[in-house]
Amino acid sequence: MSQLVPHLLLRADSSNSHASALLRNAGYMVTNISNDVIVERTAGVPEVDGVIVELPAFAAIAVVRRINARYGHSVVVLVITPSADAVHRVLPSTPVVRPDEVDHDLISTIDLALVDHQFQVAN
Amino acid sequence: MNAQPIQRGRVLIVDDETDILEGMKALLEIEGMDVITHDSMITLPLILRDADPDVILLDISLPALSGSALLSPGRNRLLRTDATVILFSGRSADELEGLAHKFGADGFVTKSQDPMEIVARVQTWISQRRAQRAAEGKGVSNVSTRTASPAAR
Repeated sequence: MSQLVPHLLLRADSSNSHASALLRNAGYMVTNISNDVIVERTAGVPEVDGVIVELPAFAAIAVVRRINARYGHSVVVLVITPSADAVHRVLPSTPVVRPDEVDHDLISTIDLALVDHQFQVAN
Repeated sequence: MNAQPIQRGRVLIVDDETDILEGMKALLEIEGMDVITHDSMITLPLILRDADPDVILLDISLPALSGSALLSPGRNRLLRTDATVILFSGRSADELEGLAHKFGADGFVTKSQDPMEIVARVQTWISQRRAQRAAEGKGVSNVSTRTASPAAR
């Protein structure tokens, strides 16, 4: 982490994502991005601590696979999608939260993913 | 463990949305299918000559030449394939059902359907196509084999 406040990229089609508000309230700095190319290009820079992809399953799978291909699983990625089973099937190590679980699970899931990533980097 | 070799179904997805192509290809391949993707209607007939798919998922709203143009007015007039042709679109199920009937497609799926439900339907269509080809004495061409994995069962 290169700054005191963790910085997340949020790839979502909606400009007023509920997830974005929740993350900001929880103390995260959130940059909303609606363009896949920009997300993929900036996901691995030191100023970004993680990426949240809030898209339908097929699009989410495609974006995450491209991020993984580019950065080799060194980027923390979390998916928000209604079709969690499909994403789990293709991306078993990527945490997935359904939209109806966001209120309860989003913050704890991204917290854990970031801590787990820091632990792996440190070891 | 006595693993049985099984035939991989072959699916051709025709769509101009890169994310749909990549995401669906990844999911269908995980589920044990061979997947070919193509983003242009204009060159589709050329692709079909070599691909020999069991199922074609055809976006009917592609620019330049729509999928319905390839199917209309007679089934497979331009596609010249005996594959199962499924309309695949972001339109509503009611609208797609009418278009499938109008253009003589074998079925339809909407892009908003649950992806695992789409996978199950594609597997059913592959099985039906294989059975129909076997009954017609055509056999199955261009089909690779693999060893069934626990995940595929």
